[in-house]
Amino acid sequence: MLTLQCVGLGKAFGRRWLFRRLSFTVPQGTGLVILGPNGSGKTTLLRLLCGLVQPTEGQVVWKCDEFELSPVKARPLLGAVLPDCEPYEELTAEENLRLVANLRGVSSESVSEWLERVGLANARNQLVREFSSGMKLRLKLAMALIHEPMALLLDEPTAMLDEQGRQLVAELVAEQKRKGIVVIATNDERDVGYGEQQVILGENR
Amino acid sequence: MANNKSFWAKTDERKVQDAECGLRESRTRIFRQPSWLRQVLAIAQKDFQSEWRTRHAVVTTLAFAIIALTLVSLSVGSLRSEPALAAGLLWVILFFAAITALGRTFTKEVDAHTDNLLRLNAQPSAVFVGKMAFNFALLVLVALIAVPLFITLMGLVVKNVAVFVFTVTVTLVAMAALGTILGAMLAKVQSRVALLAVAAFPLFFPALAAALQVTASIFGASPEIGSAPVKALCAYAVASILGGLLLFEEVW
Repeated sequence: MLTLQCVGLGKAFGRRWLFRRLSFTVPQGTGLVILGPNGSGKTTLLRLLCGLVQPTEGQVVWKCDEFELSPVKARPLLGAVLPDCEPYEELTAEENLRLVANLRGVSSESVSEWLERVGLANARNQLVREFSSGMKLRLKLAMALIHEPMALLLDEPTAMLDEQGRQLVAELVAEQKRKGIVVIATNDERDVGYGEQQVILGENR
Repeated sequence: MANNKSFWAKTDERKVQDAECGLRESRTRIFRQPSWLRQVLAIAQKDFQSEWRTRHAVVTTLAFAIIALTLVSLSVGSLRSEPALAAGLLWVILFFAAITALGRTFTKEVDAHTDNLLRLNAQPSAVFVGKMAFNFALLVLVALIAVPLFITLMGLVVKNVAVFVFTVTVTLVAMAALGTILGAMLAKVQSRVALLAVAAFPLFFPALAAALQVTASIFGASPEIGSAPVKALCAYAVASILGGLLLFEEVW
């Protein structure tokens, strides 16, 4: 059982607070949607959840059965699609996915399976620099999910996708919710339905 | 009734077994680290593939080394009678060539927004060793071209090839280890290449001083090659790797 717990979370850059006193709990099998205008700290909150930045106040705890883990310690359980977590442009889709598979200790058969799953099987040997933004997003989804994480963090997952891509994200989110937790930061109202819970940022700034 | 009781007892037993199984799975997921060596090899392989396609670091570093060598040989000619000066010039060229190469390792990750991919997926020590291996290979490639060229252009005689090769290799190991950790520290700083040269010199100095002493002897500055600087150089290279492994997590 995985649970995400944030207690009194706040992040400031210099004297400017992005958000303060944010507390919420996300139980297993739940989707959390983070909403808010540009610059309200949605991506920063996702980065806090996976330990890429440290909170100015409060704390993030991932509870996995009897274990309480900091975001850095919980990384083996997390998969993330973030704007500053890009694939290598000078490598092919397959090479990028194989790199993550090797780093995560996943078998190489999963590489082909995931390329197929996200609809990039025909572009497996194409360099990522030749990819459209939608194809890149599909690859990032595969890279985040190849190790079957218990929690999936997504930043604007449907922003650059066509209808087929949106359907793929909907399927992956539904599947992920059965396995654990999904946290989605979005501006798109169509994505609100992915979550049973909502955090709205930028209201009291 | 008895049958009913045993059914519930079995169900409870199954629930306990399921809970234990779930706990075991969580424990495995949290504490199972993928093979460290597999991570190191994956990171080094990724850097080699990437460099093979762009050839940016190789071209820049080799161009610097060859241009510097040509200018030095044009201005001073043969240095057979000045072994200490020759050793000094060789290490000045290798130092600045190394700075050109080492500065790019993490800078390109930050510029391409790929650094967080490594942070999220790999152990910091594996990133350090993988990057260090790539840096070392790059420096070896530069040395393989620049050093024989330097010796030929300067008309130098190498008294003991084995000790010379060993000295250059160990110094490059120290440079690769220190350059990797400095590169990670300075990757997000503006004017990082200039800063890397300034920050690297005091750290590289003990290795360079020992290497200079041994190289000058090998080029003929003294009749015997002392073992003390070679030992000091080895100790410094080992300390650089261990220091890098211990500190990398803090700076990454």
